Amino acid sequence: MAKATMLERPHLAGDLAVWLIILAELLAFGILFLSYAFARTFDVALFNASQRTLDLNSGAINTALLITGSWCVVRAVQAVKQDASAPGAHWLLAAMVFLTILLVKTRAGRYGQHKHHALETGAAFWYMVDLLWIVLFPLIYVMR
Amino acid sequence: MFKFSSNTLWLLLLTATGLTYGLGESGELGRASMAPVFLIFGFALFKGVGVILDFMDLRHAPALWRNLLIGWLGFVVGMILLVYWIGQRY
Repeated sequence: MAKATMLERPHLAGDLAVWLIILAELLAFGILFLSYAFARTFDVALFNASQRTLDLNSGAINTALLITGSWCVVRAVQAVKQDASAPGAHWLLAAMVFLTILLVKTRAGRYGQHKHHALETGAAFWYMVDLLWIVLFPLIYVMR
Repeated sequence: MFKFSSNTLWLLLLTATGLTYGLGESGELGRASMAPVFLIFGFALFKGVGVILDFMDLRHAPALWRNLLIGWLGFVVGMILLVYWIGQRY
């Protein structure tokens, strides 16, 4: 009963420090996005001409890859939380490159139902990149 | 708030990305109407809220954190739309 109550209590996935970094990053990028949108109003033709040099196909593919990467990380965290380290490693392998360290530790069975703090911390930062790109894609690639 | 399995959400996010791409390719954005702009940033808002609630798992986090991130997204997207709207009017 006590365990069930603990699991239902609102909790922040991962380390508090990474969430503070995420907030700082979001604030910085928010200012950047709004500065870009405001600056564009002063010379729409110039901004549109510059944005047309970007490849919309690449932007869309990048978005799909980031979303798919995040989905793989979600599946990995879900699997590890159910003590299924092997499927967790499989999903991380699909998401990879800078998640190498988390992959090695997950494969070694270092994370599990009661110990997945570092995995959630790495995952949270990955999702933030996804969130930023979701705003950046229409702002820079599509609106022109 | 909407809730999907991670697999369904992934497919919805890809679909919204595809629709955004389609609108970008359609040539509708250069016209006077704001409707396609609202649609594109509506997709961005939907995608962002999906990532915040279910990928970042803030659905089960203290409300302060959930509201901070959704508030950030709403503010940024809202301000971008306002700037585009003003830019089209003047």
